Amino acid sequence: MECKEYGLTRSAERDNLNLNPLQRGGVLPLEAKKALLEYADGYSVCDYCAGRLDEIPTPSITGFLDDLAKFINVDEVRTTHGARESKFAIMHSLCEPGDTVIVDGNAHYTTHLAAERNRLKMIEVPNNGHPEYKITPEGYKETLENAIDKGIDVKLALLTHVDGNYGNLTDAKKIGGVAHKEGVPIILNCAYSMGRLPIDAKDLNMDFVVGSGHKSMAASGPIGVLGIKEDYTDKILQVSKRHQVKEIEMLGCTSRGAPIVTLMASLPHVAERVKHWDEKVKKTRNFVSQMEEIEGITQVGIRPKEHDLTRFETPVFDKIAEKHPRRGFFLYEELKKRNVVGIKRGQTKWFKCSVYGFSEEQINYIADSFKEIVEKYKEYL
Amino acid sequence: MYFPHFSNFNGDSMEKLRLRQAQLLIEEAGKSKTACEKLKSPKEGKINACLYSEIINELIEAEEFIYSSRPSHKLNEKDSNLFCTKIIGVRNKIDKILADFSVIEKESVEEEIKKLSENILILTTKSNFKKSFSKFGVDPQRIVVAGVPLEVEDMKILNPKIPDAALKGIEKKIEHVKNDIQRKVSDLNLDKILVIVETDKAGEILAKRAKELYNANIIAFDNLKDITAEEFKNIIY
Ligand SMILES: Cc1ncc(COP(=O)(O)O)c(C=O)c1O
Repeated sequence: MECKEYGLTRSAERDNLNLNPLQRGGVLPLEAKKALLEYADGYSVCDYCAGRLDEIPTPSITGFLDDLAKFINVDEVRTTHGARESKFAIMHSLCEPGDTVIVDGNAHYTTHLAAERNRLKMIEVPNNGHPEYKITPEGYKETLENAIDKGIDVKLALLTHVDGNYGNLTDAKKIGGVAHKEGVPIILNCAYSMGRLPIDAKDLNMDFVVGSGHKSMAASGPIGVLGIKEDYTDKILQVSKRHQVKEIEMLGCTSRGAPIVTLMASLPHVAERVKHWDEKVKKTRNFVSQMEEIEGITQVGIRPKEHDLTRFETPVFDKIAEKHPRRGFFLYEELKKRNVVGIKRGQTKWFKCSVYGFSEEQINYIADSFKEIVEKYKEYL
Repeated sequence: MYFPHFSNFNGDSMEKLRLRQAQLLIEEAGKSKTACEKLKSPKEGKINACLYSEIINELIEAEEFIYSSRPSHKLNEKDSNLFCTKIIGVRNKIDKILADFSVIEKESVEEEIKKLSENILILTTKSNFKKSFSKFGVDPQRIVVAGVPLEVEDMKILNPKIPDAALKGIEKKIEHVKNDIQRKVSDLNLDKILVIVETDKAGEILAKRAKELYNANIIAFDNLKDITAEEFKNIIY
């Protein structure tokens, strides 16, 4: 068989500033790149395995999991293949098909899919609409209480800590309290927060926290984090009757090799960077204010920003697109010329972006690039 | 590396030192390289796998500059120095691998020791040792002989009968040694202190204090005068 050329070089990342929020928190630090090379082979971490991935002594996955549990303040932690697999595993072990779960209206599609795959019904807590799209504790309480009043047995609650559309940070602590008051266990989906900002599961009143290594913890994917409160460890981490050391929800073992060693190698870096979350938010706010100097650009979602993922409404670019010979593609192409990428091709009405991890100088360069583009086409306005 | 007792080593001056060190390294590399090197056909040899992996790691370290300088990839003078230092380090290691295959001439052990000890201050107990280290290729300026321990109370361990009057003189000598260490580290931009001693009481006491005071690395031998240049190279490597 002759294989095709798969195009496996990614010079895009070396040459450009990538604003796609999905990419920003998964950039590997030096230590992880080195570890990646050391452990690139398939079952590289399994030389000293005695049957349980989480107990491997060399490399010290067991030591790492202890540290990770402390990092997010949970009683037990496992790595999975992603935040979605963590959510799936929790729903799968706590619910039966036909059960009902409550989720916030800004939940990620993977939350919906995890529920669907478990054949669960979903009740959604609406956000407060344009321009904030905020999920409030009051709204969560109302929806949950209404469901209970109607006699629905809500088995599980889920809250998206920071959603992927607006980058809104929710009041997890209050909403955790709301769920507990009704006796409903609650998951906090920290795909966009764990590894970016400090997470203390217990302080946030959470029974479960799930994270995404490739999204926010500077790891090669796919890898997720599943943090569990003691009350639920037996249930979630139940072992097989036939293969008595193997945990059923983990299907025995989860991510091995490159994903886990990069997550491990990155933990010290990540633990350090979350301490500087305030500075990161400040940089985002500075970026937003520079962008909003352009007439026809407005940040939507909670203001001022509490997270780096930022959504802008950009009628100014839409107007230019109407007259530009390249139509909606002009913005992508103009940015590309300036080595700025990550805004979807053809999109001009609004876009999401993040400058997480970039220097002040790079952020100014990005904002100036947008300004330059508007200036260049001002006759179209 | 961190020297807790050098009060003038704040972050800023550390940064300056690193920069200066990088510049010195580049100057040094400039002196030793011939303009055009003749490469010979490789002979049988053995890959130094450890060195090879160091090269890869150092290249990954250098790669960080690509990301931090996006999108222009232009470096200011400070970063240019740091970037080029890394690349020169890689080049030196590549040269070693090529030398192992006779593609280029092997450097003499003395040359290698000289290079390897460029950023190190060696602390030892006897002038004889200093003499042999210099013979191996270490620049004598980078060696301090501490004929006395680094704290006066240690002298009492070495010689419990020492009269108090004599301790006054020892105190002066200690001060002199410590000043010498501090001055050399600062003037020569040295970033590592290595104690090389024999496994006797004086050696042990010096090593323990130097670890405490300077976070020094310790190497102790039963008989220092028996070691060869090749062995010496491996210990400072
Ligand atoms: C809020 C949120 N949750 C979950 C995910 C999915 O994470 P993973 O890929 O680790 O399953 C994403 C990814 O975009 C997300 O934005």
